[in-house]
Amino acid sequence: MLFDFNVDTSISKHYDVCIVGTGPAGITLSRKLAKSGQSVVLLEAGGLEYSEASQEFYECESIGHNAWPKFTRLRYFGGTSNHWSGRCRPFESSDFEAQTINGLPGWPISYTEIEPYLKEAMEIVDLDSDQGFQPLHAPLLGKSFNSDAFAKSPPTRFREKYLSEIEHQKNIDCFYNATAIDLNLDKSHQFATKIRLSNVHNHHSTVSASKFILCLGGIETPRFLLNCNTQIKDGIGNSNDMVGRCFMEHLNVPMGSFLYKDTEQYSNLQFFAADEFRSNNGIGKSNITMGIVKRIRSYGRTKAIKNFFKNIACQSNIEDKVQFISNFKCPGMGSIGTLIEQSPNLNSRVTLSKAKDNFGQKKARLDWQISPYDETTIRRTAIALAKEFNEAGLGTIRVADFILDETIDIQYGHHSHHMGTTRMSNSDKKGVVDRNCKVHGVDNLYIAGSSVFATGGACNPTMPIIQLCLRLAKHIA
Amino acid sequence: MPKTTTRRKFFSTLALITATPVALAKHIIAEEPQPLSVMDTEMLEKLTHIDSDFIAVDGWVLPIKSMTLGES
Repeated sequence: MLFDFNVDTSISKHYDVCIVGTGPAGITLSRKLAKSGQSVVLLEAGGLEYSEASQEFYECESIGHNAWPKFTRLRYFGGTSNHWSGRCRPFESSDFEAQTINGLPGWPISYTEIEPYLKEAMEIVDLDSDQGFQPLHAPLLGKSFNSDAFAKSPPTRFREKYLSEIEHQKNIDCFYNATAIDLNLDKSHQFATKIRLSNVHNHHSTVSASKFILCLGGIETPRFLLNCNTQIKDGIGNSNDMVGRCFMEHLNVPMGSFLYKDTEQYSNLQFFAADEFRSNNGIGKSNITMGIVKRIRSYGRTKAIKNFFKNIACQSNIEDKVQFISNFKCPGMGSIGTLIEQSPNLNSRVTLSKAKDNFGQKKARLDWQISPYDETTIRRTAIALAKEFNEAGLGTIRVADFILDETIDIQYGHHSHHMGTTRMSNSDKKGVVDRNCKVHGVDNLYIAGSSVFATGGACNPTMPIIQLCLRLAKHIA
Repeated sequence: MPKTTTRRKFFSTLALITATPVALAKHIIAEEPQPLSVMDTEMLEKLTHIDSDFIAVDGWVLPIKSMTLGES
């Protein structure tokens, strides 16, 4: 059933599971656990529709590289699935190989522990599980890059697809406009007992459950844990100062441009760095898109004016000289885009700002940084791509100046993939959750979503998020 | 300001006087071309050695053999 917590604030029932957040992780878990017979209370801070007032709560101080945290997330039922692109690719076995990067271990679980859930995860986002993930084109380059293999969800909007099911599922009570503001622990601090909620009128209620699962995303999950400081001053699950650390994004690097030798034969190409290439170079994964620009794109309220001046620059052949104002490609040019794995990095992190929201909760402060490991990944990948593209007779790549000159700062953007801030590790000194996504030190508190990622891979996170949730649901049920 | 000159005329004349040198400056007599044997240091800065097989010219990654033997 659905309840508007701005209107109905009475919650007296004790539930088997309390799930906080209605993005793909929260919805997947609630459906799965309810079907297994568990009584579920599902909490959503936003409403059933988008609202500016709700979105304002995602205001976030950003002191490192800008990851646009307010605009890349959505605070209403369905979460960020309400604007994702639908691109899906699962993790590979190499993502789970034992490794230490920047002093941090990789995943403590094996690929075989999430692979069984791939088929069901594909069906959840309306992919053809029989077809799987097929290479998009023939192998065109040398041994350093394979053809990429991803599939496109329609994209599935979890709100549109699953809201009605959740409303009518008899053992799910979903409260929207219900913001979680604190988690009560018992006297030992090892067992969560109740979660405290607030609505916009600042009316509070508590919900008791046997188990709690936080599905708030890579920024809001650590923010919530750090704000739960009434009983433990550094926040819950944070005895070793790991909550919020290792914020990872996927790196969108303007690596350069290219010319095809034969413009009639090829259109868009997608490549994925081969495992042998990466291990030989000691670098992370990368996913490269090469395509011909069809038209100028600009964003924002002044996009018409931006497009006007960009078109003038292209027609006057001076686009090179105005890149310091705006980085763009002219129609007909070959553009290279990337989705590059960022390594876990303790200095890239979410902490709390001094500013508070209307619920009295400190806002998040994001300090997004990349490490020398990531810079090496970017440069070596770009050079290898340029060489093999030429050797394959496909054409020529012009790499950006920062690829060849290490004195120039690397330019990079984001992909709206927030990962790693409550990372999985066998050790509570290197992570926040254990191999079963349980918070170290709290027996009945779990976290689901991309915040538990130990590494980010080079794929959109939705598929592994859902696979891990299905695995967690089986563990809890 | 003299009574015979309006404010509009004054500013128009001022604009014409300052704009004319700029307009004339666009018609620059081209410099004598440099001999080919004289390498521009700016060109050298745009060459980056990558490895034994590849070089980058202003960012364009090219095989060294095509620089010496030409494109096949």
